[in-house]
Amino acid sequence: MATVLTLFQPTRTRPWDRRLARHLLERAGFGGGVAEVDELVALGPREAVQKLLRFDPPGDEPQPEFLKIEYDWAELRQGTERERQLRLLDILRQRRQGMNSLKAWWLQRMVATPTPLQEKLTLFWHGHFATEAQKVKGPNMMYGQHQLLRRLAKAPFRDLLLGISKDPAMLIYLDNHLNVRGRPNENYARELMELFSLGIGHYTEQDVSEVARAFTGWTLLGARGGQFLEQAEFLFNPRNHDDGSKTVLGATGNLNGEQVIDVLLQQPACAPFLVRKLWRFFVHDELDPTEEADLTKVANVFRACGYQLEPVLETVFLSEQFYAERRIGAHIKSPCELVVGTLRKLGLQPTVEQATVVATMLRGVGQDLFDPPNVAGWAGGREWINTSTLLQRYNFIGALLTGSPGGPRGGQGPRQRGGALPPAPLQPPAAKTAAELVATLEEQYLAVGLDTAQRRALTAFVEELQRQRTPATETCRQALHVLLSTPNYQVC
Amino acid sequence: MNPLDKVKTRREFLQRGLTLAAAAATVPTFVDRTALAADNPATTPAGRPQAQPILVIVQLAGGNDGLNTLVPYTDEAYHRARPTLGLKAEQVLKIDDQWGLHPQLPALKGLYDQGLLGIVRGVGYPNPDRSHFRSMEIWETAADSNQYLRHGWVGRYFDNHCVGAAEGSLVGLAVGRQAPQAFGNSHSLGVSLQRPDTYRWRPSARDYVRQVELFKALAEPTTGANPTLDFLQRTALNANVSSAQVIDLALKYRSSVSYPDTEFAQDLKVIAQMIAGNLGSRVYYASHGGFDTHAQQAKQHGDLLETFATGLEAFLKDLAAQGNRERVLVIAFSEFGRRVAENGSDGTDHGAAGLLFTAGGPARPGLHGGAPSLTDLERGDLKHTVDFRSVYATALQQWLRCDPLPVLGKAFPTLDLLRV
Repeated sequence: MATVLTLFQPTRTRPWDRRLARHLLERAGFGGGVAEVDELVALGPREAVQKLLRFDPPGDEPQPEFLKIEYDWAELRQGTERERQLRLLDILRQRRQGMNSLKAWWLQRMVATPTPLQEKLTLFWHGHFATEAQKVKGPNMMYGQHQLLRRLAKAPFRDLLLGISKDPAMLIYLDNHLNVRGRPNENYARELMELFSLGIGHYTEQDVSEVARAFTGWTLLGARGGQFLEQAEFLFNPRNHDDGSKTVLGATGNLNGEQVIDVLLQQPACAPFLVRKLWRFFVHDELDPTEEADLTKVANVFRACGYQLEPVLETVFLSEQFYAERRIGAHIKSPCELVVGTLRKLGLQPTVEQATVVATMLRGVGQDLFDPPNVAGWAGGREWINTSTLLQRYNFIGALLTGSPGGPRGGQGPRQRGGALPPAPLQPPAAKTAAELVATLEEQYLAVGLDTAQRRALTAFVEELQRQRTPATETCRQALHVLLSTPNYQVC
Repeated sequence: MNPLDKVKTRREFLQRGLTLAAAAATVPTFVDRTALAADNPATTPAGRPQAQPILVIVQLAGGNDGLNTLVPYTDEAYHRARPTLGLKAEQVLKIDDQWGLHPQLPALKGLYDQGLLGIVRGVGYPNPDRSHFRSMEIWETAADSNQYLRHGWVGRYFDNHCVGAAEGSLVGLAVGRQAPQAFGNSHSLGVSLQRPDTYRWRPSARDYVRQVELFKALAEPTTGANPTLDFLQRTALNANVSSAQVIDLALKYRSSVSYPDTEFAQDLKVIAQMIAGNLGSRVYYASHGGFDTHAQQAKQHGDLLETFATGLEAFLKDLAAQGNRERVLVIAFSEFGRRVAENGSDGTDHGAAGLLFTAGGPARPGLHGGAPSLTDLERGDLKHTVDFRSVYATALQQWLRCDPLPVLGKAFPTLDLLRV
């Protein structure tokens, strides 16, 4: 398709090299090791972007074991009060373990995937249609929602809006399963417009009330099962649906939820709202006024192609704007990007146990998978960083690299909640001198290099370790630990 | 004076935390001073370390249902609007012949009876916004509902009235994972911390002194850094400078009060530790969330209130034991109250005017603010009788003893909320 943004053209001064290929891989995926980067270099920009965009929706997979939460419904109502209590506690324990396993399961996928953009988009939608497991309770519905977002990762936006409106986890999270005619519950209606499709200021309070009416009766089979609900299915209950006339954003009729979604998609605010969010996620955290014109162009493409994501992403990832020098190293990595990226660069695939520990640690640095802070999801950008999260990010990476106390084979790194990690097995790059080692590590790990004085300090540190005849692996580990505990490593 | 000069022996050097030493070369002078003040109260700029007033802000996130917190139990309109959720006269903890606290609030009733708690009714702002995020932003930036401000109101207080500390970090400390929007200012973001024991960089090398030296060098602000990197470098400097002090203070103080095992109470405990150690922060911030009770509200809301009240109770008890209760004013707010009429799912939707709590030694006890009418509503919501910025103006002028005007941008009448 004809691109609306300036097409990126490699030149002699700005060739398609490891640096730009790495930029693409970091932003469209989670970064990676040298081999992965070199593969993209060899493909050239157009093919590299195609490779990232090309992925199929997941096929049918067997339910993971950890989703089996077993109890006998009838038994829950029998026996003494104490027996019932104990059974309930056991269910809660199973659910908690199931949730932890689900987090680890996704983390492992992000690290191992040959199609990183699929994971990245699923993460984008998870943040967009933020749902907290804490409220939904139980891993089954969260897994169901995850599969929906994974399946629709680059589907037309209408499919996503409709899918999420019928998703059991979302119906519970924003209480729509209890939304009944007569006295509607506004929770879903408001967030559908404010956070999922239009943005604040593009609807009135009257619209909120009317949309809430349109979604009455969108509920779950067995919704009143309350806290024991493990799995549920979407159900339209006509008895609880308000079939009177409603007016939403100027459209009047006996509107139902699906028709409301179509009204939302016709609003001029919809495409720009989504495009801004995508741009912030993939291109630039902190929008500046010079980007507005480009955003409008991309939003027009998005709307014109029926809210298809692939043309939009292709346009963006092939644009001059995306590869502009001031965009490189100007994005603050989310905790997932930081951790998954580090594991991929190190060439490490965590075991289930390790991934469980890492998933727990993600909470401390502000990105608890399946438990975003609220319905607005993760704000991203500078919001990731404060004095507390910065130190914890450093220590998180320290624990991955050097292990944490109590772990197999010791480890001297920081103690972390959630268990122990072994030190990462490292393969130090071939380097003859300290300066060469530092240059290689900088190239592989940093989008913005150290300044001269800093480089000199790191080189001196390595030289001293070499003088003391420290093994190469240990030297590399110690240097890398400091190199990744820097402001520089927080950006890509 | 270089903080390193304070450190005599190698052992002491290590005990005090390496990061303070590591940051020494780049510590701005004022932090230097504050850092030393922690060890030697006599050297604080004010000269009267115990006299420095402290403001603790508590955010009740999600929109607390004020009507079911302080219940107008004799008002028939209340019971009509809340056929399912309404609390009956015999359930509430009665304050007088009209008002009673939620049955899960004996801790708050206790504070009220001890004269340590004020409750301000009808707090809100003109043209209320029912979005959580916008309304919270309005509260945190002290904006009009159609005004978009970049900096937080506490941040503007730092900028205007903590000069000398303006580039620094320790003027404000927030406990939790996120830095509050209220702290956002033009010079720094203050300090955020979760638990003191994890608030430091841990080296891995056997020769960790050298590794920490290197860590320090690599965190150094550089010229020509892009704006994002520059922001990270400044935050890193704040983190390194504050880390040693925080750990030091936390190690020194053992609270004699037992706090409930809730995240909120434990957050307040960290604040109490820092106050006990005389960290030098003027404003502290903690958050307690989950008040967005659209459905099946009764149990959730009761539990949330109980967590709030028991945490606050332990905190004030701790401060009293330290002899610090008179220096601390607590303000607890929520972005809005909830709709007067309950919805069809045993919950309440977003509303407007709500309750604000003042607590601690300086809080004038009792009920304040005009009680909004339950029959004269705006879109089904309570009309506000008190602008929240009047509460801020009162705290700024009468408690932090500064001019509210540059902070709030315009004049708001102060209220009779404090015993000062």
